[in-house]
Amino acid sequence: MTTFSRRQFLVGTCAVAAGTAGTVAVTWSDLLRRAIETPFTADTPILVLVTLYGGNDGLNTVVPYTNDAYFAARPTLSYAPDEVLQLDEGLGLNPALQNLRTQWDRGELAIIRGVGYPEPSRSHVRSMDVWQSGSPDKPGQTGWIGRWLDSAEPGPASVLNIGPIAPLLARGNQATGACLDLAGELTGLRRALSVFGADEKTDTTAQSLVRAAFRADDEARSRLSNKIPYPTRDRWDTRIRGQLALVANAIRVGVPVRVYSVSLYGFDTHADQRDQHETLLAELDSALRAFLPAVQDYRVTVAAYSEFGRRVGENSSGGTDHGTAGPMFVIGRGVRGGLYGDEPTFTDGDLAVTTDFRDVYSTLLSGPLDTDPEQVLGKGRSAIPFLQS
Amino acid sequence: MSSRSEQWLRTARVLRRAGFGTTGPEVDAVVKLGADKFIAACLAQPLNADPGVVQTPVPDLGPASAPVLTQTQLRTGEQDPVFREQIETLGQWWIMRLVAARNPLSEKLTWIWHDHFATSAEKVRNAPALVVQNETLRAKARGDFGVLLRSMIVDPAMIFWLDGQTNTIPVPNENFARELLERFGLGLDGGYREADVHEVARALTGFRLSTLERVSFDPAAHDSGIKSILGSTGNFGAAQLPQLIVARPESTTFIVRKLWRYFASDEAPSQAVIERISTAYGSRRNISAAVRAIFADEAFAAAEGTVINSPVEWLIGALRALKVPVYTAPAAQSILNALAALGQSPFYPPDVAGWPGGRAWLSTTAISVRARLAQYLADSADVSVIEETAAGDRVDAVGYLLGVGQFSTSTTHVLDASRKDPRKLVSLALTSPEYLTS
Repeated sequence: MTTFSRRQFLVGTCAVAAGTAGTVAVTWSDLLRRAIETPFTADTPILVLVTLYGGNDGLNTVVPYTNDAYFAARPTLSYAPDEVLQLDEGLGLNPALQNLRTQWDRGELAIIRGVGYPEPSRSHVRSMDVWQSGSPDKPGQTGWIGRWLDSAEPGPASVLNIGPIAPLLARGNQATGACLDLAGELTGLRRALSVFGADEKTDTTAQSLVRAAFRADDEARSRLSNKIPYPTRDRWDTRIRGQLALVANAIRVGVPVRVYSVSLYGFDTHADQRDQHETLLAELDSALRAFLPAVQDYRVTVAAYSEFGRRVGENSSGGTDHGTAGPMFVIGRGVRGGLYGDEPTFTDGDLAVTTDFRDVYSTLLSGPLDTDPEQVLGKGRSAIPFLQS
Repeated sequence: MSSRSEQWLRTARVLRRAGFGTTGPEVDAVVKLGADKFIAACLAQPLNADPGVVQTPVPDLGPASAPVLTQTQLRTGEQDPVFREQIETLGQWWIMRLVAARNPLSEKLTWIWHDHFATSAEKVRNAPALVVQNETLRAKARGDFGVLLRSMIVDPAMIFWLDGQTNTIPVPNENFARELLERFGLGLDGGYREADVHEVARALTGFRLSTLERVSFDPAAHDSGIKSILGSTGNFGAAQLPQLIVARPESTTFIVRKLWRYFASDEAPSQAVIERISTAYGSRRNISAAVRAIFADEAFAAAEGTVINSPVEWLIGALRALKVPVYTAPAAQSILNALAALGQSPFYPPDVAGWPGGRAWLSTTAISVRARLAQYLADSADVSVIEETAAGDRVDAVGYLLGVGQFSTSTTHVLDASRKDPRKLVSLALTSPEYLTS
């Protein structure tokens, strides 16, 4: 059970500085309309950012199963060599990540190790601000994708967050990414209609607005229905599987969005971590297992990150506390699979940072986002060769 | 278009911020009494002197079905039918209390501390424990913040929520310690270091929950060694923590800022305001004094319209102003369903940081749900005072009824177009920007 979830971050980043623009709320109907008007071609590169909120325990995600210090530090939490999905260099994936293992075998999974930044913060809000702004020194003003939006393509629909509030990463100085409230799409209107039970009177204005919205939606959907593979809206949920399902459908009908943002909460595993963590990783894995084949004909790159890893040692509650560095995953047909970054050593109970997260961003900016990274991240960044050129 | 005086408008805002909405006759009464006197009287009134409180006694939920929830039960997501019924009853009770309470400030403060010390029934699936926490917050809401903080350190629901009962030597669980510093006592920039988190975790070791309603202490599981916390050294235990925390000036600034955010404005207060309110809060950390100072401050009056009302503020405020009857479990449950659709369920804050507030309330879902609800409220309300007013004065009348007093030109145009239909007029006013903010 998480003690830390999404809203916490959104409030931390909702303290919006003057000058940052507000978000645009879009509906699925809006997206379909844009897909009809200005569709993307199938070779437009697209980036899907997966934010894992709470601090994913990297050490049990990419497991150093030949490292004795790992076993010593985690008497109940460690995974034995025969439990992990072995990859290379003494590292194995958490057993819940079966599909990621398949991506690895295909050469489409890059694991970047020891990712973090200097003097890491162990506060969820502060560290997530750093990661989303791309700015360890002055986090919390604008996001790296927001600044990309400022410098590159016009139109807020170029960045879409699946969720009701724009995360910091999508906020620029002039423009901010759009938001699609999946819960609203699925339940809000329906729940509004049923909230007071059968005896309510219906008002013509509200009812007609609702009907008009559904009509516009139906019309757009019928024009594109042969392209929407799965699942029907009735089966979507608002968690990552549903979010990625919507993203897949959007990509397949050519919605003109370059960057999608989805999220999974619950990684703040201070107690009884093992099952909880495996369940979350399985949820991520299964969402990707459905998503990746659906977009295999498109140039999609998925990048997953969290605001910090966790401590090397387990605590007395069978969990782990906030740590520092962790792995990032980048997945896609344009990825050069393999291990990147130096394997982090255990230093004073924490994982050493061996890769600056901004170098990962820099590579993604010049890759699928086709932009000079300096405009977004400033000088001094190096590329990491996890993308095919 | 308004015929309301500046003083009326200011008083109306005090009432709206001090409670949940207001209505014309209430504003008139407090204008006569004086806003500061009113606030002071609310802060001083004992709980059982409020007829609305007496009419809505805390329900007897019966025993919880399981004394202590294990994490295993949580993971499988078992729905405990006893708990489900109890938590529904508890939620319904609080709605009825929020609507019935005459003293707006006492329940508002309880609600505020519920947000500040956010503990969710999603994990703490024990309704009697949640009742205890709620009543503790209510009882301690207005006094010394250090006393309130201490009560939460030993609160069973809080301990369970933040893994306190599994926080033991040799390797303490830092969850509670971190939230105590970052969320409850000092704030993110409150001047504590990572080492302080670790040391506080040591100090918090040893609590046990034999049942979720009772905390016990096991000295054998407690780290009684010397600790260095926030610049002081000693073999501190949980008992010493509140004083160590609230003695820091950062704690005062943090709490003052939060109270300002809850009562006065979504925008951060200036340093001058912080200093004024901190002076009132004083070395006794008196919450009532700080609250009184906030309402009396010139910056409060200047902050008109800078708070986006939360769903609870909006909906409970409308129920109270329109005198919609919420005396039965089904009626209260409808209100709970509505609040769930708007994203704010009592006893279910999204996480330990509470509800995000501000702009977060303006999702597309909320807009459509609110439109629907406004209609229902207008249909259930007593609108005779509007009906009995001449059509040309009805916009003013609805402003008076809802304690808004003054609409913008554009809102007035929209409302005036419906002046022939009192219920429609009310429903539109309820979704106006002036009613959604305060």
